[in-house]
Amino acid sequence: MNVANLGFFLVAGLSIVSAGFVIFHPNPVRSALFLVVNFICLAILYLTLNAQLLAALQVIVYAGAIMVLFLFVIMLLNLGGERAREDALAGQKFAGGFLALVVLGALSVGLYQVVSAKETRPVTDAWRLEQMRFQAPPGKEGEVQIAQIGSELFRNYLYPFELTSVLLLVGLIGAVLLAKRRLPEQSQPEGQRRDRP
Amino acid sequence: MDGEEQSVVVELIIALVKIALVVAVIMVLVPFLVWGERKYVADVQVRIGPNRVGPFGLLQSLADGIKLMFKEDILPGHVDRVLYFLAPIVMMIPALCVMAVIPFGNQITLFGHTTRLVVTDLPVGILYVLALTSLGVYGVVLAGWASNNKYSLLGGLRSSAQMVSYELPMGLAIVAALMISSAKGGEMSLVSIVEAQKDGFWNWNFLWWGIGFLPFLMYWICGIAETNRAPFDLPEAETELVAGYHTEYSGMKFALFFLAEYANMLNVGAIATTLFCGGWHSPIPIEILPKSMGLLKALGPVFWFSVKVGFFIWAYYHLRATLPRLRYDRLMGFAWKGLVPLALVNILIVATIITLGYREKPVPPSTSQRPASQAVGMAGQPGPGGF
Amino acid sequence: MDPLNAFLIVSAGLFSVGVFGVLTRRNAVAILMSIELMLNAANLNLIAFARFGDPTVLAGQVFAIFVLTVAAAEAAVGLAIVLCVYRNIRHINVDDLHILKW
Repeated sequence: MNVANLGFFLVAGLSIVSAGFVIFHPNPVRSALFLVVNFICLAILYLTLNAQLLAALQVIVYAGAIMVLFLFVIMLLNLGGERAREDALAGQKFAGGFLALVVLGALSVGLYQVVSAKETRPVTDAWRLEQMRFQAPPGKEGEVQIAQIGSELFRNYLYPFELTSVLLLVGLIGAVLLAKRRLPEQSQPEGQRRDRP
Repeated sequence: MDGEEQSVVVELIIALVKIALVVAVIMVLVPFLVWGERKYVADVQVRIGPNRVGPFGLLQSLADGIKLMFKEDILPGHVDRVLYFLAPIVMMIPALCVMAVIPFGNQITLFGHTTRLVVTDLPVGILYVLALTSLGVYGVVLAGWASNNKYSLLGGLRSSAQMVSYELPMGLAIVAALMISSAKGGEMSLVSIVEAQKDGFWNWNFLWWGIGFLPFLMYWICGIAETNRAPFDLPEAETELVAGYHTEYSGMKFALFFLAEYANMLNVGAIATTLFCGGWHSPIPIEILPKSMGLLKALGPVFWFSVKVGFFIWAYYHLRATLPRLRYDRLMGFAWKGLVPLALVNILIVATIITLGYREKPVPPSTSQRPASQAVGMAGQPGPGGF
Repeated sequence: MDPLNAFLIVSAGLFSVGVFGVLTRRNAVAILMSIELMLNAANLNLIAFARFGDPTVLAGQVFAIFVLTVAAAEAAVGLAIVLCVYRNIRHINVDDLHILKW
């Protein structure tokens, strides 16, 4: 096992372990923080996949915006810990675990058939020490690639791109409408307005 | 050890020296920035300010720092221990990491090795900056949550909403800056952005066609909000929230929050300088200065960079001394109803000007053709080892 | 091991963990977080294929950007629904949300 593989296995392992904590930790704040760790691990994996733009977007959008939104809601509702309630659906954990295992099994069977057919190569070259550059990389690969993704987005994928912007607008309006308090005329007079218990 | 390995080792040493230099400069500078702020605000309010420790009270902040270091490390009984310890660290690390891509001077040659005065010039430098600044909010949020105190919680809540809201117009202002810069031949790395603004202050991005001032101002406003400074210091508003998210912190942990705040101020100033004010270029090109102004000619790029960042630090002080704190709904309204639409309109205008033929350099050939050799070379090589 | 497969295995693991979370957690916010996990697993797959597939086709990365946007919209709307639910029943346990009316 060389340095490249070791680095990959460390980050990949950390991402799966943190994903496990997201699921199993009873405290939602901790769950959210483990999810941030998971996103950062994925961003590192994207870097090894030569996807600098996606790595940066992963941190900016997921870790910097979406997860802050999650934390905001968790803190706003003060969901410190899950209340101990009796299980409404008996055996839900067992059934869920079984189904998740079925999914994993199906995916692994498919993967195994591919893996067993291929020869071996090192996991990725990006971890190699010789590739460490403390100056600007001569080729500016990141730059070229971002320009390519940009032109791809605005040429070949312009229609989906515009649709996505409409989707975002719809999401924005929907979120505002849903989260908004009741309109004044529907509720009690100004001054003693409050939420229904 | 062959030549290849030796050069790697030398590069490694140079990088380590630069990192140590940047961190050390920040650490040494912060106490004096705090002193400067206290003196300046005192002056505005017709007070004297610190004047006991050292000449002009210069060593006051140092004394405060020593006091904080030797204070008892209080751990309140009701806090979430792990997150309580983690929060100041999470706050500090991005603040220091952002400095890594900021070019604070031109190339220099020392002991036969030529190097740029920047820790690392990433091809996606500006994205790196955005990513790290977006992580900075976690320090505040975690501190607010872990303290288990209603004032802290409110401070954390406020800052999470505020920082996410102001990140948006900040990103849009940076987009406009990048468009302006790319029209001048710059790219996404901060060094190339600085180099696109050479030859005099009339080439600086904030003077570009009279419209560059808008993103500059917007970036600056959002920067103030991102650093939680007055008049946007709602997360730590002492009149309502005691001290906001750091109410429960004392000793070195509080000092870390303090350090991070000033480091962030330096970051915002440095990035504003880099993106809009020509980075380390002197306002008037050194070559056309008359011989008699030898002193100005001798001053290096690092001096000009420091002067510009110093101006932004002064602006921070002055805004704090002169402006009252915003009300919270006004703060959010300003971001969403004022800055975001303005930033979008601004991008539209900049794009229109660029499309209508403003170009100083020939545009590189369209990438949609994608010459096969270039594309294959790009994908065949592993990602740049930096980052 | 083939590099592409290594990424696919990680992605499969993440996806299964996400499935398990969606099926077993009862906290609505935790369920939303599990969905984010699954979306990210899909993204990892897309980017891995973009890297190891035809190098001139960047469709994988472009698609990952779309997934990112959809995830952002989904999180915003989902959390708004959570807020709405919390206002009405004072908790966000999805097991108690089977009546769909008040």
